[in-house]
Amino acid sequence: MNPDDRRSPGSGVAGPAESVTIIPLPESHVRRWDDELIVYDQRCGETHLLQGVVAMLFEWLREGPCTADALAERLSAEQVDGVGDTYTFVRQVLNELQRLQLLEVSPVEDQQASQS
Amino acid sequence: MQAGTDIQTLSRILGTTGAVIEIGPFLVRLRSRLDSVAAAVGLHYEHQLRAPDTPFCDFHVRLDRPGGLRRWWKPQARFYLDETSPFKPLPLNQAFPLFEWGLNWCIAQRGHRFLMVHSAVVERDGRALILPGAPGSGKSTLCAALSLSGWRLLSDEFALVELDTGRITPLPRPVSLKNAAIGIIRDRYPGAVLGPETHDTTKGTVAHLKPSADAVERAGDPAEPAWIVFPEFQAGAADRLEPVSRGQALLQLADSAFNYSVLGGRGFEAGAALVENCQSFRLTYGDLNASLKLLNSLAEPRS
Amino acid sequence: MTPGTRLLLTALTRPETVAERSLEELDLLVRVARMASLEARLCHLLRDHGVLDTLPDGPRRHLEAAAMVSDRQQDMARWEVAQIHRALYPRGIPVVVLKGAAYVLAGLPCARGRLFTDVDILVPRGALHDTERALFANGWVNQTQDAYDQSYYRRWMHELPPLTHVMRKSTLDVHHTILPPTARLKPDAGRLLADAVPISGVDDLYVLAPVDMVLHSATHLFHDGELEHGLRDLTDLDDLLRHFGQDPDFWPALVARARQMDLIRPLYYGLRYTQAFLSTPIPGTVVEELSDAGPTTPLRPLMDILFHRGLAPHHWCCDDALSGVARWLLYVRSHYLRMPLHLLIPHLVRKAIRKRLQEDSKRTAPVLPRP
Repeated sequence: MNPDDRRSPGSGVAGPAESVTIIPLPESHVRRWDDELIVYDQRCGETHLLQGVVAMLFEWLREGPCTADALAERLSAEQVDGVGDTYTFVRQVLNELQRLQLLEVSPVEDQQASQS
Repeated sequence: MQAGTDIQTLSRILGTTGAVIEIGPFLVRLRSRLDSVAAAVGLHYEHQLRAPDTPFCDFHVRLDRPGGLRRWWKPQARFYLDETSPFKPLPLNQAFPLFEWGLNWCIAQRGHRFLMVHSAVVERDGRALILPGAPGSGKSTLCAALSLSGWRLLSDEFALVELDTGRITPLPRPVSLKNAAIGIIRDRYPGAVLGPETHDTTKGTVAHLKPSADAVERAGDPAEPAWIVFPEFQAGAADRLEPVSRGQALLQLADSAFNYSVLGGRGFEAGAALVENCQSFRLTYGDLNASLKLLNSLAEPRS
Repeated sequence: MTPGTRLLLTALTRPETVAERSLEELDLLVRVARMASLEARLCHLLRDHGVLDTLPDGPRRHLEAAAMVSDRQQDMARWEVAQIHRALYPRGIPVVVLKGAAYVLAGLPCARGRLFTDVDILVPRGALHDTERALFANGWVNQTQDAYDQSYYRRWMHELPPLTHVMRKSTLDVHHTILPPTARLKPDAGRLLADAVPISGVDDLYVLAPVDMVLHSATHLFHDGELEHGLRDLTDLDDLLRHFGQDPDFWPALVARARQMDLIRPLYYGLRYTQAFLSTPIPGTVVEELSDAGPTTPLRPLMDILFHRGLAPHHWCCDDALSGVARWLLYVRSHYLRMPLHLLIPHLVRKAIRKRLQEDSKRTAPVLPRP
């Protein structure tokens, strides 16, 4: 376990120096139906229904680690209605995904180091 | 020891080795010395009785009066599963409803080769209509009416979704009607065979509708699921069918399944396949005629 | 030994014989195994021996259904332990996982098909208060309403009152040692913690060392529990002994540790009855070394009579005329071993009265079960 995890639970995720991605999930446990995404988490037995923009963000996060800022920029570029401030929106979605323990968080430096 | 067994013979068998009843994919060995149980089994399960020396049974049930002083002033019936007693006893006149309720519990505990959804299911032309619903949603009334007007009864309480094939396995048993539904069904379908009414249960007055001979004979024929309809009874409401998204339908199915959590990933996959293969609707149900018309229209060939 | 008990024990010790059983015998075997919480375990055993697929659909489906329930319980146990670790790790509290969940996390053979309902952990006594607070902050609450039960646990027991998670409804028992402080035997919890084995890849999460795991299993069964799952717990012990016993150094270490921890009597019983019921291979030198550890002559045959009944599945077909009395005596014994008599008698009286009251609060049937 990463020593950084010794922080109090519930503190915000994905500061500027952190990149996030979705935990590995079997393909058969994620279904896409129109604008709905349904996800089964075998570890706890929960079934999550994500809709619209949230479903889209989830799919982006499954593509690989990225920072909250990069996600927000990508969302801004899509010009989606009804999400308000994209940075705030992304942060709220990430906090919710973190609460559900569906996120893997790693320091950005690690990310860059492993890529170079 | 099949159909045509007289009531004395049945009582004797129930009181000794126990009667073996085949209910869809399950075999139940029932022992009881209660007259009301013998009468109800004779009425509802006459075509499902099997040889008493059947070697293996899924459930070993006994319904009897518990011992103790209480039997002299407040006669009761107790449900024993393999000689353990999972529930409180009920007043003696509720013995048969207690058997039906207890059997639901047994099936829900053990039938894990199916995704088991708390639901009524009827079939027409090989296609199954699944009506998941909590008590009070009107599913049993709709199920009884449909099964008496051209649909085959698969089950009143369980949609047994086979994990491997996705098909629905029949579980033909008496349909449990409550309160006003008893009179509605009796008046509307004079040919319907209903057992005696049991009053003052926790669900009010209960009476059981005997499944048709056809439903019992075809207990081995599964059906392909085609429609999922979530009924919601609203007195005086205008009856209507509204589409439900697959995601919402799956969440609602998971919520009304007995063993979704036991099956884990296989339960999710079976549920997802089910909503992919079905059209899902919410039925606002106010008037039986109007709702039957809506449901029948689903099964009519499209022009 | 009654035919029902023998049928199950034969199936457990010689699974290949199950293929020869008639349908009537399989009908009984499935029911006895269920009552003993060993159905899922039997399923795995029969699968390993290539027998499961040869069985008729009826009995096979029951065994497979039980195995599915057990698989799911193990997923849930892993998730629960992860959540407990998440709550306690930031506070620097080391956690030793005990019993069923420990077998799962350590990947031991006895985990397969093991059914269990709650998770048990051991934390240092000094960290008990912090542990309770950290768990509370993460949703585990103490649902013991009764003030007497509360003070009973806190004053006399080796654990906090059981905690229930508000969302998941799972139960967690937090222990600070493996026997109550009032018990006659006084194992040293500090040594258990000191020798605990880390679970690979996770900081501050442990299981007991092999010898301690065996001693805890035996102690729980013979000096703490009420034998409700007697045979299931005995098969755990059998499995642990067969698994760890492959290492020749294990046996002398086990006996030495039992003496050091004041747990020689439970070890004696554990070895005696696993061998009697499940033919566990135990080196002759070990049996010899423990010959002085058992009860003396008048007591020994009596304990045999009691345990042979108490450990059999609690099913009508496994009972004989003495089973009820034997179980009651073992029940009183288990409490007697846990607390001195002057504390015990008022407690048992109180429990008996409450048991009668609770009979009335049993489940009413006419509700369909919810998962």
